[in-house]
Amino acid sequence: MRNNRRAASPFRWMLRRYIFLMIAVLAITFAVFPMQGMIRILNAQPVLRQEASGLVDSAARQYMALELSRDFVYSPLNLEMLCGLFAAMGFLAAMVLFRHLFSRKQGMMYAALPMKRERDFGLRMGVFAVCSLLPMALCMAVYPVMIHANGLGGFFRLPLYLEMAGAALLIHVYGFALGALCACVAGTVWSAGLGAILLAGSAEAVLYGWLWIGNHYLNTLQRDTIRRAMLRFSPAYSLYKAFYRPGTWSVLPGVLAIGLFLGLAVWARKRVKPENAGHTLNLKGLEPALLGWLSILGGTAAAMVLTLYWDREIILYPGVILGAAGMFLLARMLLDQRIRLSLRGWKIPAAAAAGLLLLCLGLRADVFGYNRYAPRAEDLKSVRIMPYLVKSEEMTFDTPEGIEACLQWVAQSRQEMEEERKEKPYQGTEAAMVVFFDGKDGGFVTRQYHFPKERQALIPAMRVMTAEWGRYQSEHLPRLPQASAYSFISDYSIPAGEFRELFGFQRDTRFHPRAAELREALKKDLAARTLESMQEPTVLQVSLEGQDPDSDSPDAYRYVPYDIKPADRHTLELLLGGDADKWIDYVRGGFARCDQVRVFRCAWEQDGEDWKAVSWRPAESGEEVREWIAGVSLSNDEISRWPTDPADRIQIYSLYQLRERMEWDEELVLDLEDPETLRNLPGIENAGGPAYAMRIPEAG
Amino acid sequence: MNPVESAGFTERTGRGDPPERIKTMLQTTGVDKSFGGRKVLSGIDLRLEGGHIFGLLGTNGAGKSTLLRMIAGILAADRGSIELEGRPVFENPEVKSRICYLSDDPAFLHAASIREMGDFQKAWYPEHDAERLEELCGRFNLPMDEKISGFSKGTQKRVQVCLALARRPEVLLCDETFDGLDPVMREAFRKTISEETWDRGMMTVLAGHNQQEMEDICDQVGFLHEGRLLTVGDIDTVVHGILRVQFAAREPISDEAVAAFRPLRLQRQGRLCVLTVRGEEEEILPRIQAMNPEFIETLPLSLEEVFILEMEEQGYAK
Repeated sequence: MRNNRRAASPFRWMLRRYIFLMIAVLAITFAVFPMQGMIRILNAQPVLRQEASGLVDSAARQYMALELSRDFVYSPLNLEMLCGLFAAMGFLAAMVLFRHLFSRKQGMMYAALPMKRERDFGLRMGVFAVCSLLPMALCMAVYPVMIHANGLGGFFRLPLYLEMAGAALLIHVYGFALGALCACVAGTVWSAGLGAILLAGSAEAVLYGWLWIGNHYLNTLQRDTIRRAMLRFSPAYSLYKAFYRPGTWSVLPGVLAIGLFLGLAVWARKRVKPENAGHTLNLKGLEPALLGWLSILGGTAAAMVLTLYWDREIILYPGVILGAAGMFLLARMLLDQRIRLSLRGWKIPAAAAAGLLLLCLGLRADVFGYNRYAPRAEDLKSVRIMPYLVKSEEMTFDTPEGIEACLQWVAQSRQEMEEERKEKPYQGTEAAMVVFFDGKDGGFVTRQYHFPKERQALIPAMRVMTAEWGRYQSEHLPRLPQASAYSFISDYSIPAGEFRELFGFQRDTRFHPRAAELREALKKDLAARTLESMQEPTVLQVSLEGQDPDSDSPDAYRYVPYDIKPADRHTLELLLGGDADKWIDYVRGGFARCDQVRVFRCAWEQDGEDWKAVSWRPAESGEEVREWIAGVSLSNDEISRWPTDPADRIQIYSLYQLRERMEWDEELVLDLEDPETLRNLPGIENAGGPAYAMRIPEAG
Repeated sequence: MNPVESAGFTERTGRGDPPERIKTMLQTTGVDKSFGGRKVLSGIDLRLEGGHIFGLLGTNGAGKSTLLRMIAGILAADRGSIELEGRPVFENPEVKSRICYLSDDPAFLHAASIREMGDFQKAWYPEHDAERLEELCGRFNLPMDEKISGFSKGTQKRVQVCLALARRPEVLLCDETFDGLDPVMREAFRKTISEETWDRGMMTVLAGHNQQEMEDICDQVGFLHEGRLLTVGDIDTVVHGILRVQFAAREPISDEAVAAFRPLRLQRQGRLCVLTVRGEEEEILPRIQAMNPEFIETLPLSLEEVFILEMEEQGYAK
């Protein structure tokens, strides 16, 4: 008989059973890889013809290489959706292959079979490899063949493509591993789905939440650096990033997570009881751990959300308790699959909430002395300062004078921030200067500080730091390869339209052939910088962009912006030629000569949450403005040219900006046309309304 | 007591001793099982041998299905051991391949036909005989290529038994398998299973509530109540372990005199007394004779009556 002739084996039987999985995966992956690639192949034909004529420049070649080797997959779906698709395919494959674990009847049928549970798991892994991974890999292999068959091999970067395709496969396996673990641990499909979400992102969410809350207490805590490090070690994010930027991101966390999930899945599969199928959690022993973790997650999320709405410390504590309790009750209902308040196991959320509250109190009291960290100069190899955490603006101080100056500044800033914290312990900080203390032992410690308000007291330290920074920057100007480097002015200190009105010309903002010259000019100017020159307003921002020589990847680019000050004559003359003086004059106060500009010097006072102008005086002339600008120390905060001291602030308004503002602010009424009005502007508090309660003439 | 030592099956079938080749032996020792803190089985000791049909009777929720699933290696024991010929069953593929468990609620692959189920079975059980499956299906009017999910519950049970017999297992565990079958099919399957048990020395365990059926087919029986195995043994021994005696006294009998027999059940009507007691005829009858009755006779007890008496003694449904 025919059945007896078949040399059936469990694996072959399973392959036949799940052949539909292979067809589905093949269809979906083909739509992404070879098919999207084919569209790009068609688009590449004109470039190929130009190539034959020798008309393709390096930028176009570079663009086409990325388009054919990596970026083509991003087009039909965005990046996140594509990663989600590959992961979801893996997860669904696991759900299909392990669905017998969700049915008591089916589970018992398979449990009665003469095989060990780990073999059952292995067989399904094998089916996944053949029916899901293999078709994906095949689709991925077809595409390079098609590229070469179309004569586009010269544009194709196989290593880049392989790294991206490998990342896609890993994301798929990650989804499967997640699904396999959840299928073994959970007793229903929906609880497996919830479990997958929990496993994929809850640790990151809780960590992020506590970094966010911690940053409110510890104002030297550099949240972003830690967040980046956290993301670097996040399995899901590491795989996502490896797909997005092949070759530049370690997939190790993702690979380790895959191994861990599969290992735990085998462990769970051996212990899972078929009679528990249909329950939310198949492994009852995990229930306390799950309840505890969910309580922590709930407490963290509620504390974050509530303090986002009401930024008060007082709401944090009830938020933690309510969140932990709420999540516990919800989890209890899900576990019991009954809409009924049950307090079974209530001690777990109570302990979780108590732990979180203790953490809050610990952060409040800074029990670990985080804010008080004060390294000794002799232990440090260097100090790096990164304004706004912008890598390209990093300053490194490695001489004894530089390190000492940094520590002076840090000590003062720390003291100032500590005083702020005594007044408002749950306020956080807007500190933007990230400091890396590089130890002689090879390690480093990160903190963030802001520039102290009373900066005059720090002038000696700042002077040393400025000189050090200029020296360092000029020595370490990016070594961008000439072939691909180009420079451009990324930002002007004044609106381009206004400048055109004033000077009657408009500059091309790109300077392709002059990157090398610009580097030389910048080098001279940076080395000659002084504190005084740094404190002047920025004329414009110039950027260098090109291939990053510090990276092995040909696709890694570095973008380095520099604020150009009036004292940077070499750079300005190179960029602006004879107009450089006009620009310098303009930023030093010459703008006040423009009819469209009004400058006021005013003193502000805080009144509760609001600021109120207590005195208000318009500038008589452009020269007076120039005196004002030269006579105040300038800040490096968001209003980069103007002093932060509210008691002495210079406000600049251009009429067209105010007109724009009038369109959405009905209270804005200014009459700056009348010189008499300008001279006799009353104090704002007398105007009976907001700062701009004046009339403004119509445009034209 | 070794239930195999009894001759019930032999006497019933009139076939003499089982063949020499029968060696399969299953033993459970001190088996405990709990579900979520609720004890379902407690201290189960059982010893069964091939060539016999063992009937497992029990009240609702007594743990019959759980015990069968544990013997089949589906569930693990919390404590104790279950061994087939000295080798543990749980997570032991070689041993499990010799056991077949028929659930009270048959499970099949989604949208599968009998032929596909045969293929599935063949993949795991090399001894599966597709020819025999076709022959059995033909005998019991089962279409090989139709979806099983479209069959009635009774037909699905027939499919389940045919698939099991096509595998030629050494141990067949039937959990209320004959419930839902019409009398003709039930008789046919009982006959087939009896033949398999005898011819191949298969060990069969039937769990259910149908005492009459058990009495007809089984040669050994066990009563399970609230997770404990109360009585195990040859069916005649079990039935004869309780005696029902009817006698008429010449003089009124005092309550104390009757209570001395520790009756399981007592019916009195004047001087006529029907006494149901635990014990052997040789022990009980002389004691009644000593009371000088006008007449005395023993009344036969069915397995069902014995079961009810045993359960009443345990306080069940009182």
